[in-house]
Amino acid sequence: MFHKEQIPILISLTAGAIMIFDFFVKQATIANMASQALKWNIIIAAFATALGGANLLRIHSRRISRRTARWHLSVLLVASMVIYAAVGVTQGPQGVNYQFLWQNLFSPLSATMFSLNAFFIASAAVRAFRIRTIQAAILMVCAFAVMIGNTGVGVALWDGFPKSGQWVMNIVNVAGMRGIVIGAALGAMGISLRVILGLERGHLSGVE
Amino acid sequence: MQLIAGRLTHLVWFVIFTASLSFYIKRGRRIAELPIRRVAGLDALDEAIGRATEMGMGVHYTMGLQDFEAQTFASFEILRYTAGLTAKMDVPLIVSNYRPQVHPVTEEVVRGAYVLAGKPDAYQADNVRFLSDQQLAYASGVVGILERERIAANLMFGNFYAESLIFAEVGQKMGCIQVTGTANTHQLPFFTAVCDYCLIGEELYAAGAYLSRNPVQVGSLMAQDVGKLLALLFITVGTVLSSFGQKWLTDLVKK
Repeated sequence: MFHKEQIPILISLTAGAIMIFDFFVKQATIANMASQALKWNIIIAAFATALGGANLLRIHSRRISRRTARWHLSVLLVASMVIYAAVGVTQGPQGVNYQFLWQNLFSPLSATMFSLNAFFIASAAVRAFRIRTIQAAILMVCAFAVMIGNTGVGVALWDGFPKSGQWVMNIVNVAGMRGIVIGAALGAMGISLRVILGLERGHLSGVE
Repeated sequence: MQLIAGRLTHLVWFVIFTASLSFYIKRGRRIAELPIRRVAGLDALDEAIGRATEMGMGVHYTMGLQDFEAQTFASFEILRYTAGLTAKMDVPLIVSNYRPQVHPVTEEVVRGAYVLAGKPDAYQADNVRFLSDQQLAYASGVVGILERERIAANLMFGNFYAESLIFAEVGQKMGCIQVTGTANTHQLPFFTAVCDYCLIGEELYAAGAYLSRNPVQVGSLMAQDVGKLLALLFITVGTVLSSFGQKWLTDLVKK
């Protein structure tokens, strides 16, 4: 298990120590090492992309060969992946065909997925604003203050609406958020230190 | 070598926290016996996987827009527990990955949990999937899994952004029991509004200690509590001093 645990721990410790020193002290050698470490991260990510692609190909090739349910979707995925990769490798990301695919296929599809949020926010709001408890009632009142304060109607009705909305956002909301952020930041520090010092090993072999 | 301006307070805070962490970790097993307050979301994991077992359906697990950062490491602990439980109960577990570099680690965590559960043969490599490292392409992949793969429990723990609501609403539509957790404050309202259980901020980081009672992780939790007490003290004293026009503490922490 040496290669599975000790080497990754050594790498984590070295890289972590470099980044921590770079955060606190101004020193050219350490700054250079930190910059190199970040470049290594990009290189490793590039190699890992091939691994990810291989995983996708393996799963979907098997589905196609076994003709499992909706195998035609796998054909579509594999074909898109191969075409996109071929165009990208031969022409680069600034190539005419790559840009064509990006702007006319990928971007509209991404925008479509993102636009679902508009509908989902409405349905989530309906669920959140059902007044069943005192907390839900307080939430509803706060939401009403913020929403009406941000509309022209609210301003026209009473000039106190925008102020009350801002008060909820700047005082009540910020106070709650900061409490969560402080707790989360401490949790993140704890887990990061454990990983850097090799005290957290569950991710290395799946066995603590 | 020179300290970067404005980082002195950070350094002092870092030293205090590290010292407190090593102190509590050294206390070892005595601390591991201390009670941890109940976290409903983590208790609900058993319920969610039990429900999937009864219905003869699967469990889906996502870490959101994962990377090698704190929330992902916290999520590994929950994934390990979940995978162990699904292995014992013979429930299919599908894990969808966003970052290709995290994907092999996820595979290893799930495989390790199956080995520990005594069911190495039940591990299916095809169920730990890399989908895409593009946010919305990944979102569409997860939506596809939730819609097509007969999922009864949707577990979401990690780093989420705009895709959080898409996952939660689709999971809700498919009738999944949903247990979530994130430290991203802007996504918490969506999770709390739509999902059955939600771990808020630090609860996600406490999951490892809560589920495993590992002395190192429980020790770390104690160090976090010391940090919170200090933060509370600084906020209270700072508020009182500022109210009386005293700015020296504010100036001190800016150094």
